[in-house]
Amino acid sequence: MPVLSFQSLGDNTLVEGDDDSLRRWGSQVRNDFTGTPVRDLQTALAAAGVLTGVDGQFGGGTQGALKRYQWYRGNMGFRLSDAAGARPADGTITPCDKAVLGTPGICDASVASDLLETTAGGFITTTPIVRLQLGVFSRIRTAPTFTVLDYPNAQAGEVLVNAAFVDAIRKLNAAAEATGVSLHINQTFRRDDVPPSGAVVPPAKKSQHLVGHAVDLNVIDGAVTNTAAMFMSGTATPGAMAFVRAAKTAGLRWGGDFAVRDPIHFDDFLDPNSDAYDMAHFFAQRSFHDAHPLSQV
Amino acid sequence: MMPIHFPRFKFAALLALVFCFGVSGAERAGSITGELRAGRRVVVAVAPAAQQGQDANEAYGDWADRLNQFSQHLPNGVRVLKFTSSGLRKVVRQPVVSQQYATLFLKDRTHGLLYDGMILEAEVYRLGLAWLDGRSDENELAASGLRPVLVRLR
Repeated sequence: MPVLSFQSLGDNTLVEGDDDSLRRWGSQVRNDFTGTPVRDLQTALAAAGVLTGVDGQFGGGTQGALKRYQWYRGNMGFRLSDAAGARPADGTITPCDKAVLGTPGICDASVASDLLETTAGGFITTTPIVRLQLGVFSRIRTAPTFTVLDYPNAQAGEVLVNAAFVDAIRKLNAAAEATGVSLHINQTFRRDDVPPSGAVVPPAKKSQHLVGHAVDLNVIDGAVTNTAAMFMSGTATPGAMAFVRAAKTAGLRWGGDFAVRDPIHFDDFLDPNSDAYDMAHFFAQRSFHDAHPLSQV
Repeated sequence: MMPIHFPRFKFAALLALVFCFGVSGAERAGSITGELRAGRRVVVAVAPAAQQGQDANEAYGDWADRLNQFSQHLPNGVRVLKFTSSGLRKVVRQPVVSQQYATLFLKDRTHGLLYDGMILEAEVYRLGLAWLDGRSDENELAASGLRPVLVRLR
């Protein structure tokens, strides 16, 4: 009996509900084939860093992992080389072409081929979070209270943002230049795993900070540090208000306009109810838990 | 298929336990006076009891992050207690906290430092701790939104 191989799916597909033990593949019982293509798909997804657990049953977990892999290949232009197979922290970030792979959640020959190329090359998916050196910006520095996160290749003078948010930082710098103020960053990317010791309240689970699309900052106007309280009380300096207007004109959201005001916050809003948010959240946070090195912009 | 899981979910489970015990344990009438009598200084975080619907609220997220970070690195002799505004009124006669969110730094039974609203900057906590230690600059306090208050406990 011929083997239905993940390596050569041909016109066959693997979809949710398929099960190697039932010989159900492509939503049909295939008594004309044998093999373990679902298990092989899961093994490849696990090697790519988007799935844990291999059981030969294509359930919601496998489908979610497959969607993550497809999203990653369509949106991320680099991956982590883990040829040594030891620790991701020792890996090298390598550029790669983006690829649009089939229908989300369905494994066809194009997805299988790409996954095999990825895993055979010793590559794993990594994070959209990048290291941004602030030295290249004329008006932006970190505040004294800025907390440096722990990651394998951390360097002084850098902050972490989503690669898609780098342009927003450039816009903020341009707005600061145009209005004659400086910016002190308090926080950019935020991890979602606050250690339990000392935690008092539950953290927000869908913040823009968790996907690297936000920055908290104080506007420095001459000798005056514009605090949140000054914005709240209407005593922020004219320069600070001009900066806020310039940043909004450049397309950023200002937290001072939110229903619950947050005047030190700026973001470019990645819809927290979107797949794009969930994907960015998964890859951004997962790579920190697994101690991936981060690429530099 | 087993769902994927990472260590953060273990953290989440532990956090849930901490919140349960932290909130119910903290909001006892005698907790503030007990801590002060024991010679400890107290930071009272005033917030609603339930935090549902706050997952995408950036102000809440920043406030929670700053408070949790602050609570992680407390110096010896300082305690953080969480109260609702109505719960605090049962224990503290003055100042009256009318906002849903506020923070009251208590040096002793009569001297306090109040921030009305959500603290969004780590610098405010730093200034609050400096004030508890007797090191503070009035101009810095005022600019940060912190104001000294007289305290009367019930």
